[in-house]
Amino acid sequence: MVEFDEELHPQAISTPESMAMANEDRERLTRSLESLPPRFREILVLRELEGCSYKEIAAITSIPIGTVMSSLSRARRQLSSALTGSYDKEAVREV
Amino acid sequence: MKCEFADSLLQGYFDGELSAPSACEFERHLQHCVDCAVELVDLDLLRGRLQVAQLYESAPALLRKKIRANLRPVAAATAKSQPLLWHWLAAAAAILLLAIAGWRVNSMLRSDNYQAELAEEIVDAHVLSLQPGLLTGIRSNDEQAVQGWFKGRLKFAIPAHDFANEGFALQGGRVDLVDERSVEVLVYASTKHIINVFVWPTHGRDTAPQAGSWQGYQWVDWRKGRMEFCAVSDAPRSDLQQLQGLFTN
Repeated sequence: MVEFDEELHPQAISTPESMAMANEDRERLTRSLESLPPRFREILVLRELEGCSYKEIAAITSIPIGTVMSSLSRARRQLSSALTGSYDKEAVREV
Repeated sequence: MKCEFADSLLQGYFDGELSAPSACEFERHLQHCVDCAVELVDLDLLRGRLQVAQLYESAPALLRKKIRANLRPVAAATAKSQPLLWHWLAAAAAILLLAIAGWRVNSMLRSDNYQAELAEEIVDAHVLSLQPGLLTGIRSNDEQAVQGWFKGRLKFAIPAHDFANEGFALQGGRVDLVDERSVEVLVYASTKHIINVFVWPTHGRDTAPQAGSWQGYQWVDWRKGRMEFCAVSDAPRSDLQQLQGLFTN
């Protein structure tokens, strides 16, 4: 049964503070994602946002399925460190 | 200090891609490898952030969902059409890559644009529904039958009314997706046009009807009694306003 559940929907976030924080996080994520090589960005989006399987990713991007797994690993690590880097930069700015 | 599994089995395990025996092997490994356990938690946090951030605009998301919904009929066909499945994936990918290339941050703040963007997305949903097989989940002009059909599917569904005497014949209903939410759609036909009326719950106060057009389609939107309605059609706006009047009274 399909229900309209407001708890799950972002519009449930209503305070200015939490909206501002969510916007900030989205900005940071977007910038970090854009700093990745396009191929890494593409497979991350296909896996994390589209829920594509390795097989589907391999078909869509025309890379071997074995490479998908290792590329994902490197892409995730690179995104993590880009995100950490963006926090460090902010810390430096505030000093 | 990095574990040898980190690049291979761990990724596959996290993405649910391992065979059952490999998954078991990895779980045994997890019982004594803190590095891998921590890595899994970090990956999960990262995934959570990516998904919560809503990095896509909602209109492309609706189209993508529709494309993926279309993949199933193709996949159910014979093995000979296997190349067709990859063709569909490539088409979906082309649209995805457009979204990636034209990366835009989705604004969470409700702006004046939100109403217009929402109307555009609803018009897109209307247009997609005109394809064969997509218009109704239940095809009936019987008010009770349509109401009963929604009862098992949407908690908030309002009763369906047939306005055939006024020129708007009830055709049936379906559940559609708008802005990541499930909405009720009541389908009507006037002499020459299909009219979709999208209905969903809202916190907003009652509003007078607002009208607009997008891609040659007319829409009329209004709120009443904690429900929001949007009627869409290629019919003249006056027809939609007439239907709105019938709904409101």
